[in-house]
Amino acid sequence: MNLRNAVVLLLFVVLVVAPQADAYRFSVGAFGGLNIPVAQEDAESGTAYGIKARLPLTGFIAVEPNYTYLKNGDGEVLVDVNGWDETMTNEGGTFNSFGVDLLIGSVLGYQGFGAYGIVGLSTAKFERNGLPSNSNGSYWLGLGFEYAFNDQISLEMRGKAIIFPYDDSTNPFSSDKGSRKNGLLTVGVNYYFGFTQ
Amino acid sequence: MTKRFVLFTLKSALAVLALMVIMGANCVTSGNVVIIEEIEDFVAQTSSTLTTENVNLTENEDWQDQKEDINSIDDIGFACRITNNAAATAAGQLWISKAKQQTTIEAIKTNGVLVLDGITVEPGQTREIKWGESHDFIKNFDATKEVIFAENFWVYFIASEVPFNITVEDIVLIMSINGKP
Repeated sequence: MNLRNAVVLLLFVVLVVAPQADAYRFSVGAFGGLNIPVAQEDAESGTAYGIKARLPLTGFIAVEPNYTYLKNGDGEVLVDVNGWDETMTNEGGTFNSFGVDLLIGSVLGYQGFGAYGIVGLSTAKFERNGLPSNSNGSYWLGLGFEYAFNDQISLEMRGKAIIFPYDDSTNPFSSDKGSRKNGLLTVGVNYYFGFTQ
Repeated sequence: MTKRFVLFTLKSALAVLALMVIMGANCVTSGNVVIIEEIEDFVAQTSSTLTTENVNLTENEDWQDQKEDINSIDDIGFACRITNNAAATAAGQLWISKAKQQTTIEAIKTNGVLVLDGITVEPGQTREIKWGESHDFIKNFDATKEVIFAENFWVYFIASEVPFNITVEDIVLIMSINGKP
């Protein structure tokens, strides 16, 4: 089973199982912030934003179906050969990612401070002007910190990283996969429904 | 607190190791670098519709340093200055073919790959095309990559009108490759 199918299956399981398990409390949220391409000379820092829902399965484990949009800043390269001496730019590209994160830690969002680790899978599409798009399964890792003002509303700050693996079937020198990696620093707001403390 | 930090660091290292096992270490450690290749000027003042240049990446130090570690070519762009010295609007196509030089338009269209199409230059004008704008004209990206991976290839300019009189100067090929950063 490839990663994209795994993500779809995982989303299905979440939607079917979660409401019957511990969905006595759930949240919806939105987030936005900074997107930092790692080791990519053809892209600069840009923006990230998205939406998500949190479905706690137990007191310390939750799943979060999510949509995340990343826009890289324009890549810059100094061309100082063959009659040129200037920095040229090119569109850095965008990611559209649909996925599911698994959260482990303080995930119920009750009043006070909470922290959790994040691992996730998603199916993501990378697009750039004039070039073919590239869709692949992707991996997410991160940490989240959340402060709930009361049992309904919380503010969160997250550091996450996406690893977007791909290969090039036209490459005769290597069949190894490479990847694009982007770090995200985001701030978000969550609204909780269901039981309160 | 120190013990918690050590545990957290160890767990993070284990997570990264697990990712390297799942995806391959090369995948986790790869990055994108931009390579620039100079191409000789086209000076085409002819009644023929065809002009040819050779590109040999085996003579490009950056490419040679990177090629064994390349996972993929992610981007192909270019920059150049095109001057139309004729009295009519200039338009044409850029084709490429692997190692063997093609000598007729029919042979190029049979054995080559159309790379650029749609560039026009008004009479007496010079048009400057840079990296970002060049993607508006790029065609057949995957087939173009196959030719570039062959390292030694021929570039052909096929004019849509004859006679034509253009000068294409300051040509650079700009590629983003994914490999060891």
